[in-house]
Amino acid sequence: MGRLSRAAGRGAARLLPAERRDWAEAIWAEASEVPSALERLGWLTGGAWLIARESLMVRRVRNTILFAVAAACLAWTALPGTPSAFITANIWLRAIGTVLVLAGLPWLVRRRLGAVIDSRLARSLRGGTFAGIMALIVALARIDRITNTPRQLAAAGPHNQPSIGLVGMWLFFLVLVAGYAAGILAVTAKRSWVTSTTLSIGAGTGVALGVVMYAIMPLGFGQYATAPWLRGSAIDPVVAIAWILLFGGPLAAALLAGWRCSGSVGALVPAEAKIRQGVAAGILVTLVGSLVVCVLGPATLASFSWLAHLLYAGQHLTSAAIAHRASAPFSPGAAGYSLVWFFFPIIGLGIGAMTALAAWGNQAARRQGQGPGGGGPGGPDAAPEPPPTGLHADTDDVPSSVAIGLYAGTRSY
Amino acid sequence: MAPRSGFSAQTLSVLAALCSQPSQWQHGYVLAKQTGLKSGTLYPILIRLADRGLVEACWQDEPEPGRPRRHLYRLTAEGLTTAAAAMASEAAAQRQATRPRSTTAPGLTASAQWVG
Repeated sequence: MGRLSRAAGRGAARLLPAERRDWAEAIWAEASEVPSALERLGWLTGGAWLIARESLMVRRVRNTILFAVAAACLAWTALPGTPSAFITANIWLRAIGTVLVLAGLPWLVRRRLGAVIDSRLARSLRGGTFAGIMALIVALARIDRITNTPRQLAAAGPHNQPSIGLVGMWLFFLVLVAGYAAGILAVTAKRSWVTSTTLSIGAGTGVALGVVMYAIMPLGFGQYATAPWLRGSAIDPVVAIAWILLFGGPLAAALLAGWRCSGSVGALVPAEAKIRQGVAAGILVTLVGSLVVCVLGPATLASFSWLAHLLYAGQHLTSAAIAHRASAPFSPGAAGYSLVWFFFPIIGLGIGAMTALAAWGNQAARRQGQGPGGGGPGGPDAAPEPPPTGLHADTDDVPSSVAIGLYAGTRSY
Repeated sequence: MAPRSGFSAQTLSVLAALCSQPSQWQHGYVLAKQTGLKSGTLYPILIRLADRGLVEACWQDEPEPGRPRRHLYRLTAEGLTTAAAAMASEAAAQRQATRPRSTTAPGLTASAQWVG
């Protein structure tokens, strides 16, 4: 059998997990013993099928096709309906930029943190995040078409003309999209050492947060309650629940996820594993919550005119007027969603990290103090020290890097 | 009726081929010829058996000149026990399935003889 064929076999074997590569190379090497060319072809075909099955290639091909179909639908629905050149460019750039980000990020995350955790929840979180982001782009495109007709653009003057500020806002939006996708991809990757229990706790709390936030602000923040199902003082307890979920959700999720984690996880010793679960649960709560409310809100604006009439019964407002009020630059509605989109993950990450470090930071520090030689107990009042290098945290892993930085900061007091 | 072994017919054929020379290392192509299985069927079976600890695998120490080294397989001690039990179970199940049913009750034969 030729060198080329053997090289192809070795290359194909690299598609498999490490523990399976020997088998792929074995089947390729055995082909040398098959006497006839036709039989050898059949033997190698069996080998190719084995590699496809064991490398989960079938699933990858399916996911690639699904993504391509979703991207095509996104591109088609983002086709502009108004002749405004700037809005056309804005909608297209936002759609194309998002597709490129979502196409490239999984590959980058895989190189650093490995493939997705082998659980349905992890795959659902990834699929749901990508679908939600694409739905958001479609909704924003529709809102732009509704609210930015040429007459309105002309009337708006320079604020809605192409400018560095608007281009900067578009780029900033794309960075946030990448951040959300990267965050979900990271916490659902194998080498992030996040357990399925942590994913359940974080995602479940996040969905609750998102639903409550949407219930009180389906069309964004306003000077008065915008939800017809929560009129007057009935909205107050729901607003209280929203505040509790926003700050208490990451805290409770971090504590619960860390408490549920017993023993080592992957390369992490128990205390470090607990901290990792706490940080991951905290950020997951607000990532998921923010995605839920920021997708449902604009989707409501863009698609459900009947809801607009329900919310503003008797006022005879058109969908365009509602959308414009809620989404025009610097409107209360747009500001509300922008605040959620930007600040929620920061809140979740900060609270999750601080909670996890407060609960298990000392255990991790004691383990670091023992060192590889199994030295004596650490001093109770150690001097301020640099970020602990004995921890098994991956410094390229954002949650752990932040956790280590926060830990170092607290130890300096 | 005797319980079946829990292995598929193809897996049993692979176990039988490995049992024929339990202490000898065997090549994949030889197993394929003995069992009549194609490579795409044989190797997943070997992988699953190895995952369960019933088969052990290793690379050939000294390959033939000009040829790549080959992967070798044989049953482990646990594999040998399991294979023997599986084949015995399967044989018993097949015997029971093929046993002919009796067409007359014993009492009839005796009374027929008494009358005769």
